[in-house]
Amino acid sequence: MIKKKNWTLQAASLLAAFVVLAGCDGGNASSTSSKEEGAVYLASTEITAESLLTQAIDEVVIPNHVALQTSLTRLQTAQSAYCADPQQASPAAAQAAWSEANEAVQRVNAHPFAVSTFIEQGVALGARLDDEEMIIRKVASYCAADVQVALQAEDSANYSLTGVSTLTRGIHSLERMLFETSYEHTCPDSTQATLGWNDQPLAERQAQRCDYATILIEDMVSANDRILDYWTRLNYGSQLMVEANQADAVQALFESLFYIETVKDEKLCIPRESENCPSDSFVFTSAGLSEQTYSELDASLESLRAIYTGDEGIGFDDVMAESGFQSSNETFLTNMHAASALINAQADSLQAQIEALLDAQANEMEEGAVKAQCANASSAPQVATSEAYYVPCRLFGYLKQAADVLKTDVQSVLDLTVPGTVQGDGD
Amino acid sequence: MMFLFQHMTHLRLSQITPLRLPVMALAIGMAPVCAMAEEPPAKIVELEQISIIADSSAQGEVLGAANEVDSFVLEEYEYQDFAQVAQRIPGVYSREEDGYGLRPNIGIRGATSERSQKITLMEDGLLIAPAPYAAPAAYYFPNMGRMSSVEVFKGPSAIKYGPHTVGGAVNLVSEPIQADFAKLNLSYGTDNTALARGVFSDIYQSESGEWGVLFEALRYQSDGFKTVDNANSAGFQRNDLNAKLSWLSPSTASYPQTFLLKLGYADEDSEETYLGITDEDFEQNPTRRYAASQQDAFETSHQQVHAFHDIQWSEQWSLSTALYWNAFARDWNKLDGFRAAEGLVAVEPADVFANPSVYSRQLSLLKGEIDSETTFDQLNIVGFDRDYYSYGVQAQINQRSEFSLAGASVQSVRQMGLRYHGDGVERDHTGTYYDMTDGDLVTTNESENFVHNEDKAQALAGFYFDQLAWQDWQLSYGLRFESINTERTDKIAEQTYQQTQQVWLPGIGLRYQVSEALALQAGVHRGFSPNAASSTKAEPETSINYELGGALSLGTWETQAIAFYSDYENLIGRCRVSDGSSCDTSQEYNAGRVAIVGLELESSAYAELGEYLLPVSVVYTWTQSEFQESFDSSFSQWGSVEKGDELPYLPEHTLRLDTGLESDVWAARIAMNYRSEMREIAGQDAMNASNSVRELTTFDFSADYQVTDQWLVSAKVENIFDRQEIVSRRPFGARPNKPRYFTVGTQYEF
Repeated sequence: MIKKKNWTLQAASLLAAFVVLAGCDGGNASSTSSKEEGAVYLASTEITAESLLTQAIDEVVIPNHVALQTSLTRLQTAQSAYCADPQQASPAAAQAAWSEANEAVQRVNAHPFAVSTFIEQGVALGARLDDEEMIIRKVASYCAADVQVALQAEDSANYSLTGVSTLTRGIHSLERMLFETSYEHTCPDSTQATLGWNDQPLAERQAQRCDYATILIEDMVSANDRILDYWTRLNYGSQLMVEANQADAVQALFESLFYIETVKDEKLCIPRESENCPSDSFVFTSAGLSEQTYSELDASLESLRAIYTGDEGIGFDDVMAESGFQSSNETFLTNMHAASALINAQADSLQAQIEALLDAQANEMEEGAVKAQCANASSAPQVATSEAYYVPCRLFGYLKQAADVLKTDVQSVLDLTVPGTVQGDGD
Repeated sequence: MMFLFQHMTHLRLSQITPLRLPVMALAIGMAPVCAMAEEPPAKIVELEQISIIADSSAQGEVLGAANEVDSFVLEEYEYQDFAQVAQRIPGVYSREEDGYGLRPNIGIRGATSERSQKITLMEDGLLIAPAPYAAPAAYYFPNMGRMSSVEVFKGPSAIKYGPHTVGGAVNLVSEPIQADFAKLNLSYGTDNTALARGVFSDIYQSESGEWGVLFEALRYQSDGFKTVDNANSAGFQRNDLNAKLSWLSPSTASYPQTFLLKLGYADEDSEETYLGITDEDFEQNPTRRYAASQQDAFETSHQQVHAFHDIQWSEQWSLSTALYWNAFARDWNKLDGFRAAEGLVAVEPADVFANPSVYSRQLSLLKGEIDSETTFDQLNIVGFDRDYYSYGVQAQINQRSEFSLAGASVQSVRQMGLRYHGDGVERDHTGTYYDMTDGDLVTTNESENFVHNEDKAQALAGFYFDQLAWQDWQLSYGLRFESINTERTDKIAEQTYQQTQQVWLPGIGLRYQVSEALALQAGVHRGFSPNAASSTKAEPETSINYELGGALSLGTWETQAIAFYSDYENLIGRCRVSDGSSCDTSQEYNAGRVAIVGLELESSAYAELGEYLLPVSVVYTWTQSEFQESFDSSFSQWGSVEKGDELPYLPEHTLRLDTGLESDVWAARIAMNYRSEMREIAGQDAMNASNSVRELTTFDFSADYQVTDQWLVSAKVENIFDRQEIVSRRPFGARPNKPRYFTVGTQYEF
């Protein structure tokens, strides 16, 4: 039983912080709540590690997987309809369903907290979940996917995705199957599996891609169902509620917020120093074909905000507010909302803006001018820029300012640890 | 030791047909001081000895409050559960666990009752807990069926009986050797509960002295009153074999001596568990046990060799010496929780019962309602294998003297005792994982050894005790010394650590015989309970204990009231598996200052109604406790403590009322037992179902009929109205008291 008592922030091991906060006066808590406008603050609920985790699992994680399940079902239906006659049918409905599913996947990707942490700890369950999680997370390798299309066509009866690299599975491999207008493979001539593939009739190649798309969707459905089954029927969340596990689980939930760094550094890497970008320009392969990257980003940001705020329930923001750091909440959420607003205001795709930025950089009169402008836009994202191609730079700035709150204030107040991959990223 | 002389006393008394008198649990302190002054010791049978009250001639020499439940009282209800016997002793609390008292939880004056770890437990004056210093939890407790009396020493009187002096000491007195004596007891009752006990004893005269022998066999068994889902019974079987050989020097010996050798063996095979049920299921069927406890079984064996020697050099000086060795092995195979997801800490049953909505799946698994599907659905059945030993040698010099003060005689009785003791335990805990499949536990054949350690202790204890009687005053004072070295070796982590504890424990008591009917007494002593060998963080438990009271004797009405106040400088809590929490098993926790205040009241009287006797007795204890400091503890019974919180498992009121009607050949008795509600976690808020267990009132009835001089038949009903309440939610879930229980028995003395 947790009772009321005085507390100090400096005391502050993680669970102690929650126990301490649980004792704070509820009336004061509600008056300083940092909830987004319109939020209903649960004044009667104690802020504890358990309530924080429960809220995240019940109100963010599980609903997101349920939504993904629904989206994947729609996608299955639409894809089946399209693939019944790919030569005649329009892929538009299937592509729209894919877009919806992709956004759902991005919301799920924002909270791999019960997965990534346990993977690091070598959990057998985590490893299984890892495979399945990666299926719906990783960016595809087009050639690798083309190889699998060929292999499954060669022996469809015995074909299985078991053991197949996650790079050839998931939502972005599926994107290639549904959005790619070229029916040429992307592999070098030395790739045995795709030798002669381009020589097949178009209808055959379309059918093969459709077949592989079917397999990919089934794979995603299976993975998502299994994760959802762990969270719901198998009650995996209860494992995290064990008192001795709560600190690790909250740390993992905190680390999941640093997906914002992935978004910032990988999907918005083009304007920055080249060495910070993944090879082959990640941005172009993450919904690059469909040019839906902004939608992806917005879905991710929405999910991250939900984790931070507990989707209107107990969240990190409540802990911060109770600790007197309401201003940190405002900084974080203001930047996150501003980023989303900026995304939603764009008529062009991220890919188009980055190509324009690269063009401007190539044609600049003064060397480094574009890069300097981008840096300025990143430093002061609130300032509108004359050119739309500086929007990615501003987005980067908003997300950096939000991430900085996590790295400093939230980390300090909750006595949590910033992930090692983020600590030294030079931001 | 002293009990041997007591045996000899019984030998002589056995020639007298015992009267059916209403002998109640009289306070030893009630004996008038003048009794000692008027009866100077002259015979060896009245020698002062360590640890045992022995007979009435010694009663006046007990410093502070002490109580005896003698054989007559024990036979009234023939309780086999010490907790039921303890109801007749004020200041003694119990926390019911299995309903049969296989491992009773006894506390004295607020000292925690869990596993009787804070009391000094003795049999015939010798330490009998498996490892009272290194690992004081008493997983072995002798069968009450073979005991002839029970003695409890509280307050200042406890300082002679370490190591635990905060609460007090319990001494179980075994069947004495008697001449030409044989007895057979048989009883049978509800749930096929049966007890068979045979005793043969005789004394042989020879030129070399008086030789005595005793052989005793006891079998106690039951199918148990709980029913395990998809399994049969939850019963037990206990066997107990004992033998004694005594020698008393010839009456012509210059230095009278006695020698006694006692050998004992006991074993137990019981289907006991720590797993309880939810409150909701308790409402439906309080005697249900979930399927997850199907494999739970407790197997033990206990051996003991005790040897005693007494020699009297003169009327003033005597020496008592004892050697003892005990070995106890137990393997408790029982549900400990769920398998941990790798990298995580496993869900424990206590988590499930504390929050069944969060752990609904795990609860269904415990009940066998669903099948295991993942590794963390698997149940961890742990073999808690432990081997204990204890040994020691103790000696006590007794001196009586007399001198004059202000023209009046002063009698002095001095005792100086020294004991070297060693004990230890090796724990080897291996868990085996089981799937719940179709309501049955199915082994995965995957095992994991997660505890393998060894605790050892060596202790040197000594005491000096003097009692002076002058006119109507009696002054008692004493000093105890304990020097303890312990060592814990973790055989998995390959770590060893040691600790040393040394303490001086003074005590003083004063008694004034105001009149022949009224005596007043007061006492104060320093209490101590040592750290176990496993302790790495806690300080020893220490306290200053006070008592103040009086005794009134008016005709057949005898009353004693004693108020006590225990001012703990540091209370320690010890995490046990039975605590039901995720704290580290055997780790100790400091609670700092705690105050416990209480009142012990006992009163008895009887009326003669023609050829009948109508005895009445009341035993009542009032207790209040308060933590004096606020702190957070991972010891689940404490949790987040605020100053003023009350201790858990300490009822404010306990009451026992006894009455009946007795003639020369038959007797009928009825008793009421009341225990007020108890907290299960420290607190001061109103008690409710989430933090306490409800009050419990039960009634017992017994009747016996003396068919012939040798043959007695009896019948008994415990818990007449079949009141079933939750007596504890620890270790894992709600557990019931014993339901209504009938038994019939017969006793034949050859």
